[in-house]
Amino acid sequence: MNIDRFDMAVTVTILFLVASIVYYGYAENSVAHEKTSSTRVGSISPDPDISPKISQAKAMIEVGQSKEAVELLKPVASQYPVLAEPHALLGQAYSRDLDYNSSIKEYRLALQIDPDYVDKKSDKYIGKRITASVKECKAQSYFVLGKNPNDVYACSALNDVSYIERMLAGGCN
Amino acid sequence: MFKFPRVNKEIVTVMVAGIVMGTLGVYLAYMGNPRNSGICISCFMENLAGALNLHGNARMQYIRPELIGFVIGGTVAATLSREFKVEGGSSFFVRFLAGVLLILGCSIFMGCPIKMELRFAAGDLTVLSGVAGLIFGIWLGYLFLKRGFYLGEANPMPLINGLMTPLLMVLFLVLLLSKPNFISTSLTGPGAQKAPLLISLGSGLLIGYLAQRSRFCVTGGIGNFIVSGDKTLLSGLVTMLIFSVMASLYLGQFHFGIEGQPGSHLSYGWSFLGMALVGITSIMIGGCPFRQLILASQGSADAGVTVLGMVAGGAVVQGWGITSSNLGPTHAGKMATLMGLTFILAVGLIMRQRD
Repeated sequence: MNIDRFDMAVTVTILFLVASIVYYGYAENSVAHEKTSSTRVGSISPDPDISPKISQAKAMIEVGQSKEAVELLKPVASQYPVLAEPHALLGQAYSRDLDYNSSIKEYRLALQIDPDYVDKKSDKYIGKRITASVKECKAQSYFVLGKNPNDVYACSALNDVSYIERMLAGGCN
Repeated sequence: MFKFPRVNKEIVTVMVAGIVMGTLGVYLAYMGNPRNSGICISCFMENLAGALNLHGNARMQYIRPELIGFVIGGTVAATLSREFKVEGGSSFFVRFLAGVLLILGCSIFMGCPIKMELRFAAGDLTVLSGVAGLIFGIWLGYLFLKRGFYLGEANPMPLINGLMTPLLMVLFLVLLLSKPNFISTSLTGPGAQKAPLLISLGSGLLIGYLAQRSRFCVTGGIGNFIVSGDKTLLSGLVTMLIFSVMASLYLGQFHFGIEGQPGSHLSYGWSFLGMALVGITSIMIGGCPFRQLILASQGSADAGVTVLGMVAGGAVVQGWGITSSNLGPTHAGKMATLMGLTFILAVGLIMRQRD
């Protein structure tokens, strides 16, 4: 069989790709597995114990007891990281408390688990609330970055805002 | 005496196809399809696979009438122009896997080459890395063709082989209209975002008809221009872009920039690789995902097998978590892209005809 330079170039490329596959497979496997698992089980049925807490948190947010709602929801969110609702409610609570950076972080987590929160056809839709938080968070972050361009928290917030804006824009996501 | 300039009929046909596709591509999104996804073969295939319960993503389940229209419209056009010719038998298995790879590459980028153009026309600048990747992949594909890559000859086959894809689409139409229990339809998500049935189907039929008559192909248009300077098919792409920009501006779908673009992510490197995979594969099997549907509509059993591969690809990318999201490609998606590129390069190497 005649092997020419083109064969050699393609073979080298294939070997490089195989090496990349081994690298990605070995180096990132455990982290990626966690991420994949956590973002694909948004519709797990919650433990019956947390439903009263969720309802209580909703009532607290409605009457303006945002701080209390946050204290109630934080342990629920950490105990059930694959549920979107606690994160969505935390987003609302932080927003009422004018802590828009934290609000955006929670909304991002909620959307990563369950994109229905920005789907107008879903009864979970809270797109307008999220948009309001996004607007405020952006304004705050640009203000902070204007004074201190290296502010890590502002950059992180804008990263979250960027993701949420893409989700709000719709499309195949 | 004034003489009208001679008009190249081929170029006019391609340009008309481009005008119609560009306009209807934006109009379908305006009428209900996902934003910037008025026409997207990869998204549509994922929706189709979901409707057939080949994957479990409840947000991506719908038998897209546009797909049905493309094939039936193409069959009608081929039959009327006596171009319906049943042939096949050229490396079926490789073509099936190539169909899977086409959808894989598109899912990493979050769109097929047609959606790429529609996204660009809507002002989405995040597609530029995908454009570069597609062009690179096309160039690489032509390198393989130039150095003897050959999948084998297609031979005449019994009529039923050429009719399978159109008949399958008719079956899907019956399933779409009759809504049996075993067909799923999304209530939320991209699968629930759809233009009215008659508009989708009618648009698909018209586009399918014109695409068959004009041989419209994104990768073919770019490739022919790169290799031989032939602008025939490229003129269709250019008119499609112009008219889709105009339609986007008129219908308020235009949003210029990088941020806040629907159905996009900021992982430019992986977009490049994903579309490079689409480019190489498309050139090796004779056309982009859309062109494969049209070839299948005019009797090509080889393209029909590729279409089945695309349906399987739609199931795999959703079921195995390969498809990208607004966060970017998943770990599985990155691995699959690298494996896909390895596979297609290896096929290219093995199937070179050497003197």
